[in-house]
Amino acid sequence: MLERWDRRPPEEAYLFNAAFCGALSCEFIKAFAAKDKVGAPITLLLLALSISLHGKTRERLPKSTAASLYQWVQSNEDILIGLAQRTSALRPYVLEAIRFGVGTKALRFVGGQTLGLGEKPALYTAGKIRTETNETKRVVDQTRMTGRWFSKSGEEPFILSAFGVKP
Amino acid sequence: MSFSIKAIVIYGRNGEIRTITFKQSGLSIITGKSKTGKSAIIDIIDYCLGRESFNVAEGIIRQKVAWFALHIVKKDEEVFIARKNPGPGASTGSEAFLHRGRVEAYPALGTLEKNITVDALQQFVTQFAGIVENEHRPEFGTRRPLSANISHALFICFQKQNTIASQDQLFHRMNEDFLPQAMKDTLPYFLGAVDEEHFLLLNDYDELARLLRIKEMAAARTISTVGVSRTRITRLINDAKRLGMLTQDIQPDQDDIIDRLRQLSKYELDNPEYVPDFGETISALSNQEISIQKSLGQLNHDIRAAREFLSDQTEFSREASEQASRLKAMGLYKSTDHNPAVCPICESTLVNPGAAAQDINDALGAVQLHLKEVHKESPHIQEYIATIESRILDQTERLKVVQNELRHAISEDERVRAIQNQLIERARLMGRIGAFLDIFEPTFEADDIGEEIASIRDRLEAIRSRINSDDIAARMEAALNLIGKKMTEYSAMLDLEHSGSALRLDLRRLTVVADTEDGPIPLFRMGSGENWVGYHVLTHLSLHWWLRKRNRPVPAFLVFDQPTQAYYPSDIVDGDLDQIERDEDRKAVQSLFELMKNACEEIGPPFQLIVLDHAHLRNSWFEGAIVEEWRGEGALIPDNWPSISAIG
Repeated sequence: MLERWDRRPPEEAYLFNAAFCGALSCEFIKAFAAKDKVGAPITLLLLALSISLHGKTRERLPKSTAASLYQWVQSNEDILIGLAQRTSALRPYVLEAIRFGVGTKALRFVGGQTLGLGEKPALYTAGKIRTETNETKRVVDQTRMTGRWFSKSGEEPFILSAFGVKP
Repeated sequence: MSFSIKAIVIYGRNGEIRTITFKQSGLSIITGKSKTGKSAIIDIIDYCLGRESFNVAEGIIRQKVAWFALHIVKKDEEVFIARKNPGPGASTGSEAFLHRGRVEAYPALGTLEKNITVDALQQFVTQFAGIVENEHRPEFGTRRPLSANISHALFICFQKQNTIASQDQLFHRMNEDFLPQAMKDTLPYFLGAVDEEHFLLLNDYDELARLLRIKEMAAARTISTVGVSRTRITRLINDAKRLGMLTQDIQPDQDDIIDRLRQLSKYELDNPEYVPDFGETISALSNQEISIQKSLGQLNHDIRAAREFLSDQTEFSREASEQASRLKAMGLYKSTDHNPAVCPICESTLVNPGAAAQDINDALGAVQLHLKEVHKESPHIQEYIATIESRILDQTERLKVVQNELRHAISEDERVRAIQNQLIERARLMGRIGAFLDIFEPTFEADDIGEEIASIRDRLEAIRSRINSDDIAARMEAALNLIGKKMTEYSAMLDLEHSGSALRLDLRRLTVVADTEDGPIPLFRMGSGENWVGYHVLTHLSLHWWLRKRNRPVPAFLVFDQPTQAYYPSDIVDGDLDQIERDEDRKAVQSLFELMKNACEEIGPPFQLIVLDHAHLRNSWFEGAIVEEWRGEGALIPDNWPSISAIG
């Protein structure tokens, strides 16, 4: 559980603030559910943000979603180092972001563990993304890419196990 | 010109004076019986002429005489010499009295006292006799050079009783050790084979020889000095070449090397031009360099700090920008009223309320404010950094300039230092040369001495050729030849065994030799006794003939003591010829005295022949020659004189 806002270390608090993570969640879900899905499993959301928010990992992501998940992981095995810790460290922020998103009607549950976009999703428009830092842009882009990639990479357990994550 | 005896003067102890006067020239005869003191005459004369030992026979004379004196003359110079009788038993006496000048009357006994040493007396008499500086220098052997003096001259002036009749001994005192050699050494001088100039030349020769030795020693010293100094000279020359003070072609063994060294010691050193001191310049420039480097260091430090600060700022900006960017996501939400304290999913109250929209907006505001601040600062820092950068550039340029100047100054300084060092080195070398020359004998060079030595040797050679002893030998031979002729001539007047044969004087054996058909016969191989006296007489007369003819410095008297002793019986009282038994003997005596008379007439005056004898011939010339007759009461010493014991 996260501390109260005023007790958090500001850098962490600001970098992983609920608004931002919430927006990222919206982006991921939108990219994931774009074709034929209603939403994305929280597990995959958490995994995706662990990847896109980690600089080194982010930059290793393949250029094309046509890449095979398994093969990519095998080729970049060092990705897996620390992934578990990062994921579990990010978890509270993501949960807070979900609550924040649901509270602000940006997100809604569409299943027991599945999140979908709410009435007023927080999404970056082309104009808005232009004024952000390069890194922010990158994070957003790669979150979207991850969404698309996970979407066509098979079932949730498959994706999770590819990353060595126990459900 | 030599002297003759005017009188013998004898002083009795009572002050009485007995004078025996002789004829200045020609025959003087003292005739008398034995034991009248005739034989003492020679000893008295000898003693007064400076003989060290007193040889008068013991007896009356020694007892009764206080002083013996001799009055001698030479031309118009007169000398009175007196010697104290040393007394019975004594063999030497040292009290002598000399008075030079006109002798009007003989001094009284009381006035006689020592006023001259015997040595000085000898020297005086030698000089008075005309014997000058002379020296017989034996050519070989160990004999020291002999100077002839009066005692040598007197060898041929006396013929004592024993000698005159001797077969073995022709000359007076030739039985004494060393005297025969002395006679042989001095006879060339007395006979005139060696003249005065000869002795001057000998003297010159000696002087030059001594000088030559000195020069040769000095030359040897110089050569050895030069030898020893070769190394030093070589070193000095090499140093001089190294310092550019001598050309390379000069060699240390050149003849004129000492001259060269002297020149060098007077070398003109360049006046030291004003030599700028780079020391201060170098010092100042060094300090500048250091200070610039320090300042650069400071500037670099400052700029580093500024840049770090800036980058910190930049880093912070970047961070802050990222944070701001993410916080701005709040702007994506259309609805912001949400209660973070309650979970919207399960509606349960959250233990810790989650982040509220307001929180996020506030945070964004704060971060953006920070960014603004930083952004404001940044230009200042940038400007500051730019300033420092330009200053660093400036200082670096300055540093380059200073370092250049410094290098230049140092190299100039070194160049000047080298010049100064060379100056100092040259001055030092000149000092060393000067010191060397001081020790080295600057006053003459080996060459000069060589010339001097050669010149001295030439002069010695010239003198030597004039001293040529062969010359002397030849002259001796000539003299002896002439003397021999005279001897032969005189022998014709005597009835001698070898009359008719040529007679000569053999100086090596100091004897007379008759060259007969059967070969040369020396006196000691001749026959009967009476002949010998004849040879003695004619020899001495011949010698004195020569001496007077050549004006030699031998005293002009000759004393014969008892020449007729062999003819008269020993107990004779009367001197008449008829006392002699045999006819031949009478004839012999007569001939002897006639020879003497003739010789006296022939020999250039003044020549004094004093004969002390028994004989009293009745010829007028004989009687005319008698100066004393000691028969009856007459004797040398008056009877009434007290003897020493009487006085007590």
